[in-house]
Amino acid sequence: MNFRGSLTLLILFVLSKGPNHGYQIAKAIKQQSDGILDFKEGTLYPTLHGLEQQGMIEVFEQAENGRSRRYYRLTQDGRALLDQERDEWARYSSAVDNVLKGAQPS
Amino acid sequence: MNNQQDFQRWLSSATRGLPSPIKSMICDELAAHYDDAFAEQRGLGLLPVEAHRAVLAQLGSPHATRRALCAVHLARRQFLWAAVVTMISLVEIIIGALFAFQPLLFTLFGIGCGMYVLESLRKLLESPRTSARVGTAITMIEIGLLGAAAFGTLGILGSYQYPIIIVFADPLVLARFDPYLQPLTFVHFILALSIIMNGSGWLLLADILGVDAPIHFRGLLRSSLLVNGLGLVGLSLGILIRNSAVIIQMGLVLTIAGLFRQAFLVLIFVRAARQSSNNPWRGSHA
Repeated sequence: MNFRGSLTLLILFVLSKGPNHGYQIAKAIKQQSDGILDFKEGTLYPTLHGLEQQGMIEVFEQAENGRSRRYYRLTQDGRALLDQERDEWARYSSAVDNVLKGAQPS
Repeated sequence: MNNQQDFQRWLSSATRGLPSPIKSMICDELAAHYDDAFAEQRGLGLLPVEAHRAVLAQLGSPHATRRALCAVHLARRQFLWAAVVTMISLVEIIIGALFAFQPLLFTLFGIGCGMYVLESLRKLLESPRTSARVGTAITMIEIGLLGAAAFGTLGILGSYQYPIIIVFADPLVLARFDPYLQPLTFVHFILALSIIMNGSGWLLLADILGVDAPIHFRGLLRSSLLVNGLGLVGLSLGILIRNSAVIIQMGLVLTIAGLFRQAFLVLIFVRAARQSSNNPWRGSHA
């Protein structure tokens, strides 16, 4: 799984904690990864919009500091996709660990 | 140029080419992002100009953002074009006989249409929910198509006469030319392998469609892909065993299946275009 693929997983995970807007999503990913996952934030929005089109997340608007702001929240399908992506990531990272430890794949 | 003008220039580059309502929505969203990030950098003690530079560096290249935004938001337009191009290639199959004496033009036109349709199909089918095999199947089809066209063209240039027509023209042309009276050459061998790869790609795609493709008319498309793929594999075997009857019969099978395949693809692309949201305001208000 490349970082592009994991960005979807990370966004879905952040949104599983509650609705949020783009800036806070980016900040949460960077902070919780201690800055290691330092992606360009401009590319966050196309990924969010793509997930919205696929029905994985939905948008609502909320007034903030006198202006309307787009917030994203996870849908039922998005929750299912998050579970699927987490399983896939667990399998992937376990396979990489096995190789790095020199273990035989099971 | 002050910070705001500089950011507006970034925004303008990042959203160039997008439809106005979408551009306006994205500009508002990114402007809010910029304001938050700028305030945070200022809170860390940076001067306004330093904070501005830091935020733009975090946002990244406006061109990369634009490419990614266009890929998402121009999908509707691409699917509509894909439906039109698929319709044109459907007509091309039907009137293929008229191109019998201009096979190079016929092939180049067919390849152009085919690649656009395949890339649109890749975009339509590839999603986090679908198997990674979708990409593999479409790449196989594309390589097979390009290989068949390249070696078919070699065949024409080398006066082998038949390869391109066998791949793309209709059975009436095949029957009229009765083309398989020549010895099997390297060109024909590679041509046959390319057609096998093309057919195998369609068969793999049909297999994947049976599992998890999020599209309508899935069953009908799958059946036409199966027959079409089998026809292509049969055709290439006909080339390898140099049997005109097999080639013509398989050509008939794959042409009919190809007609249905293209027709279902038109419906699928039209449906996908209708479902692709171009309305950024469809969210509810909290």
